[in-house]
Amino acid sequence: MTTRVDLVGLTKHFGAVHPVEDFSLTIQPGLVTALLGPSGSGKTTLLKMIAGVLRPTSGDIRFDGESILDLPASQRDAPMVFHNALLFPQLTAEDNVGFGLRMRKTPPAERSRRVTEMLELVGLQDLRTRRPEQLSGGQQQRVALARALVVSPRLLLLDEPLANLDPDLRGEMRELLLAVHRSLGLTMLLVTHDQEDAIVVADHVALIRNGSLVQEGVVPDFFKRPVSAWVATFFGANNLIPGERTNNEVVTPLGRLRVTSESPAMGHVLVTIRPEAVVLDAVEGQANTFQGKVIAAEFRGSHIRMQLTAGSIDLEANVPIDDAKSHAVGSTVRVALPPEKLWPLPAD
Amino acid sequence: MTATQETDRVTSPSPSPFRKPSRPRRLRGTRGGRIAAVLIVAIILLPLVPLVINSFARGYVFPQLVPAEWSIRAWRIVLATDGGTWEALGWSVGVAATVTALSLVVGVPAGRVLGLRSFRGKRLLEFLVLTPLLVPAVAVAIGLDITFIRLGLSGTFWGVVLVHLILAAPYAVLVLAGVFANYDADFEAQATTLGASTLNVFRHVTMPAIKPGLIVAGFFAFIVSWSQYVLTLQIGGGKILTLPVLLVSTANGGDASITGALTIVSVLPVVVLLAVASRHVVRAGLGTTGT
Repeated sequence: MTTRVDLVGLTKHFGAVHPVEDFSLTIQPGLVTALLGPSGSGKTTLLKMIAGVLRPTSGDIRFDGESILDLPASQRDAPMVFHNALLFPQLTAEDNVGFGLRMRKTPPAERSRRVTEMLELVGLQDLRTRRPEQLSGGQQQRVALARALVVSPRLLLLDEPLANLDPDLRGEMRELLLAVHRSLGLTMLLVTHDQEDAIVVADHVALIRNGSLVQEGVVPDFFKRPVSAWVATFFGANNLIPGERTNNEVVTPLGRLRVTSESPAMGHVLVTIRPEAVVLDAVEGQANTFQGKVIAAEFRGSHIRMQLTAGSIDLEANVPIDDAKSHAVGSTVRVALPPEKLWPLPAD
Repeated sequence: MTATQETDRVTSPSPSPFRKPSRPRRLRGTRGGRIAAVLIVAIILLPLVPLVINSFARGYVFPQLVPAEWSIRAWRIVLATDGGTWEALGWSVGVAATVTALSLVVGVPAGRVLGLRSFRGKRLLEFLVLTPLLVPAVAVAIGLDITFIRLGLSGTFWGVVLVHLILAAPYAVLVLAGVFANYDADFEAQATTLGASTLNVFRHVTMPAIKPGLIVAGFFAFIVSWSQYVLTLQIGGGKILTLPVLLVSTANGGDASITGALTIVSVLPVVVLLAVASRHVVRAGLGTTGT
């Protein structure tokens, strides 16, 4: 049930279009890996190649070290759950769930037992005889999930299963995915364009852009140690300060900034800092301080998002609601950028 | 990857619950709808009334409104076991059924490509599919006759089937192209990843989705073949005596009673077929044109 999946130099070309280019990744057994990227980055193409619906132009896919390229999709035990549930309209919920077992000629008694088990797991045992059009969007998505789970997949492929759901259903479905993962311990690959899905559901994240892997790791890595300005901004760190780095010092338009993080980027760099790390009431003797001006403030529920300007540099800062009161728009603030929170990136 | 969304729809039939179910607007129930239905039925059935009267009449001539004398003579002749009607019925059913089957065999893959894919020259291809319907059947028949004689197809069952296909297949292709334009091929991918073999995907996913369109396409192909006279006569060379061929020669014989009876024999199977298929015609064809 827990399969390790290796993607080795996967490439897919459709004529002049290259949705996936030399993509390598190891999907750890029993973990939820999120394949995260903006739309059009090749995520779904990658998923379809793993499922066996598309054949890669080159590269290899290995389940537990064994190439499965020549295995037809119907024998890979890697069912896909699509963003639109794709329930077979002529079948009831339970017949939809039982579809894969029927294809495997599982005896009816066992089929019915496993279908019931899966419907209970997704909380739909009472709606088993409903037809797809009698189910809500969220319920359809649950049936689709149960239908994939019932075949005891080696790998569960989820193609934006949350994309078509409204916010509270999204939350519910995320919880369900986590619960399913806890109780079955499956290897799961979740394709999503929403970093929040990845943050909440995934153990491991692979960030894809233009068909290539940009960065992989656990979620905090993407916040603390982004590999490029694009990754930083994708995860909401819009503060990019250009400068020239030598050792632990970066010369920037804001003055000399001390950095203590272990980022290897030297020379021409972009220094990034997360908006929640920017300090607005710098105290005497604090490092990396300068004068700034509040140009906008926006209520964001749990905090205030402030737009600051300092010379030629614009910065974003997330400020606790109580602290924000003393900094009206137009007022001058003493800004500090804590050296350990600054992360220089190669300027490319 | 969903080429479905980019492609133009060739014809309007929207099928199947595999897309959003768009319920046909029910005309039944409204008064206008009822009047329209009665009118349509009348237009179809009224011409048959004189035929029925004729078939049971003896010596039915002009000023008479109702025949002076009734008789089942014509029906006896037409339904006689050695009268040629049954043989003609056999030829017609055989040819039309074969044409229908082959039209669908051609129509499903061709319609699928035209409906699902977008490619350069697609418009041109769609036009080319239609061209047999634009050229008069006589021109096609005369042109092909020589070729068919050379190929030994003239005067054979398969020769007639082939020449009927020229007119029947385009209808099937166009109807099915419309069906596939509304079809989401991801359903097939879904079934495959759940373990369905190619055959099972077709049986459990593709077939149920396109079934209404298949019935409509088959119905069109059947009617086109069933009503064919010129092509059958030219290529069949009088050896493949289908109902229309027999009917025309009977009509030339001048016995209105026999002609009437034979016409009813020719029309009845199509009416029965229409009654069976109509549910699907409405669902697959008219359902979307009205909205």
